[in-house]
Amino acid sequence: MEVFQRSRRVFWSYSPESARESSDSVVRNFLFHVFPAYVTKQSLSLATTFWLGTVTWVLFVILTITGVILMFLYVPSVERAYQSMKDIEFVVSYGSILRSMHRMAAHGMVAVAFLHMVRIWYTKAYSGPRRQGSRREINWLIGLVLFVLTLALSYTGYLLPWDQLAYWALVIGANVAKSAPLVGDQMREILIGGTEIGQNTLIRFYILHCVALPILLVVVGAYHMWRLRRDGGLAATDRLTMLQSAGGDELKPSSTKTYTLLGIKEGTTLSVRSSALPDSLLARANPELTTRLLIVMLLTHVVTLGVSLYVAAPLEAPANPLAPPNPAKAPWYFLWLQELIADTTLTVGTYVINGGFVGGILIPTIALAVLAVWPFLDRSPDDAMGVWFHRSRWLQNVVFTIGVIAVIGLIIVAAYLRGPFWELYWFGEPWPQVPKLY
Amino acid sequence: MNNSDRQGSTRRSFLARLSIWIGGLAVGGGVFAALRSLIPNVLYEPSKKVKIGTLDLIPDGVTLFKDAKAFVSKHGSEGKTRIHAISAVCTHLGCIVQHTESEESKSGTTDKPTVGFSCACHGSQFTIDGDVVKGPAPEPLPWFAVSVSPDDGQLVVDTSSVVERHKALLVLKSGHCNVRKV
Repeated sequence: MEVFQRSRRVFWSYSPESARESSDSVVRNFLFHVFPAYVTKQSLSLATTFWLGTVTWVLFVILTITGVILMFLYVPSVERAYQSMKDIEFVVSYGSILRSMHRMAAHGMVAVAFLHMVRIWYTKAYSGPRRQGSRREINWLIGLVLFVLTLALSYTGYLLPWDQLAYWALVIGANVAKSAPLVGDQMREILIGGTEIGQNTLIRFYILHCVALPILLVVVGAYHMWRLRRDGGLAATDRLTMLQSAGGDELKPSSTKTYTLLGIKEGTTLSVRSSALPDSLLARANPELTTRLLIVMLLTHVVTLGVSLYVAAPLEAPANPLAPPNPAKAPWYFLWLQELIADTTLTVGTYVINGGFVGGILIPTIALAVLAVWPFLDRSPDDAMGVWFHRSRWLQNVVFTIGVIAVIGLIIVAAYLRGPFWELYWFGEPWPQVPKLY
Repeated sequence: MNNSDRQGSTRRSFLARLSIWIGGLAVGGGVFAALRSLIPNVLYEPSKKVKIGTLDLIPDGVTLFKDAKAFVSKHGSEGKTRIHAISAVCTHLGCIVQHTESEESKSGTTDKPTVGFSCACHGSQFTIDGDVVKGPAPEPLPWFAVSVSPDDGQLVVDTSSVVERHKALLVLKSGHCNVRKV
C-alpha cells in the first residue's frame, strides 16, 4: 500500500482531503485549469445540454487516437492505398475494429455536432444579456466554422481508402469546385493538383485530413471553449443571474482581471457574476463537473466501441475511373447535397447554371450565411435564453425546424428512394437489374 | 530636428514603418511562395490525344474507349464508314455515362429523341448524339476530333479538341488509304 501511495505521488501529486481543497485543485492543477471553480447546478443537469458539445470533443479525441494508429498502417499512394485498407481490415490484429471505431466516431461527430447546434438554437444559447456585454454570437459563428471543419474532415477522410466511394466523391467534389464561376477551374486545379485525379490529389487530401484540418480544428475549438468561459459558461447560467437580479438581489460583479487572447483585460466578467449566485444554486467544479465529465467520456467510448464491434466500416470495390457505382451515393451527411445537386440545374434565358454550383455551393453558402447572421438579428426577449422552446421564439423555432426537416427529408429521399441512374423508386419497389460493367 | 509639421517623419517612426513593410513583404512573399508551390508546373498525366486502333479493330456500333473516356461510334453504309467520338464524361459533375440505348432506337424505328447515354451519379440522360434529354446536365456531351495518325494509320481521338457537332465525322471509303474529312 505504501508503495502504491508513493508511486501515485509521481503522477498525481495532489490528493484533496476536503471539499474546499478539491475545489482549490482547479487553480492548482494544470489540467483542471479549463474549469471554473464553481458551476451552476443547472449547467450540470442532463436536460440543459445533453452534454452534446462534450461528446463531440470526446469523439474527436477518439478519432485522433485511432487516426494516429491508422497512420502507421496506411500508405497514401494510389497504388497501395486500397491494399493497405484491405490489410488493415483482414491482416492487422484488431485492425478492422480500429478502422470501424474511426469511421463510427466520425459519423457520430458529425451527428452530435449537428445536434449540439440544434440544442443551441432551441434554447437560444447563442445570445447572452446584451447589457452585460455578452458576445455569445461570436461563439455561434466559431461553432459554424467548427461544423464546416468537421464535414471537411469527414470528406477528406473517406477519400483515403481509394475505393469507388472515394474516387467518385473526389470526381464530383472537384467538379463542384469547378462549377463556380470565374475561379472554378483554378480551384479545381489547386484542389486536385492537376487536371486529372491521381497521386497529387491523394497526397493533398491526406495531408489535409491528417495535419492541416485537425490542427485547425483544435485551434478553433480551443478558442470556442475559451470563449465559452469568457461569456460566463452556459446560457442557463446567464438565465439564473438574470432571474436573481430581477428578484431584487442585484448581483454586483467584483472588479477583476480577465484574459483576452493576447493580454489581460481589466474589468468585470460574467463568470464572476455567476459565482456571486447563492450557494444553493452552485456546485464545485471538482468533483461535481469532473466526475460527470469522466462518465460522459466513458459512455461515449463504450458506445463507440460497442457500435464498432457490430458495424464494420464500409469498403467498396477499388477505384475504377471508368465506372461509377450505380447508383453512386455519398455518405448520409452529404446525401442532401447530392440530392440538391441533382435537382437544381437552372435555366435562365439562354444560360444554364450547373446544379453543381447551385446545389453544391450557392444553397449551402446561403444556408450558412442565414445561420451566421440570425443571432445578430434575433430580437426575442432575454427571457428566452437558456430555456427549451421558449414561447416568444415559436416562429423562429418553426422556421429552423422546417430547415432541419427539409435536410432530413432530402437525405431520406436520396438514401431510400433513389435507385439506379438516380431514378425515383418508392419504398420497397424493386430496382431493375442494371448490367454489371467491367 | 524639429519636423513637427510633418507627423511620422522621425527616425523612429520611419524605422517602424520600414519594419512593418519588410515584415509584411516577408509574410506575403512566404504565403505566396507556399501557395504557388502547390500549383504544379509540370503535369505527368496521360496525353490528351489517344490512339484507339486501326479501323478494322474498332467494333461496329458504339464503343467506350477507356483511355480516351469517349464513346466511338462506327457505322457503315454504302461502302462508307462513318466514325465520330463523343465524350463519356457527364457535363454535370464528371461521372462516366453509360451507353443505354434501347433496341428500338438502335434500329431507328422511333422518331422521338430517345436515350442514348445515362449517368449513374445524378440521373442525366443524353441522346445518342449527346443532347440532354433530362436531368441536371447543363450542356450536351461534346464531340471530339477524330483523325488518322500518319505514322501507323491508327485512329486518334483528341480529347482536348472539342469540335462542332457532325463536323467530327470521319468518313472512310472501303479502300484503306482513301481518307477524307467531311
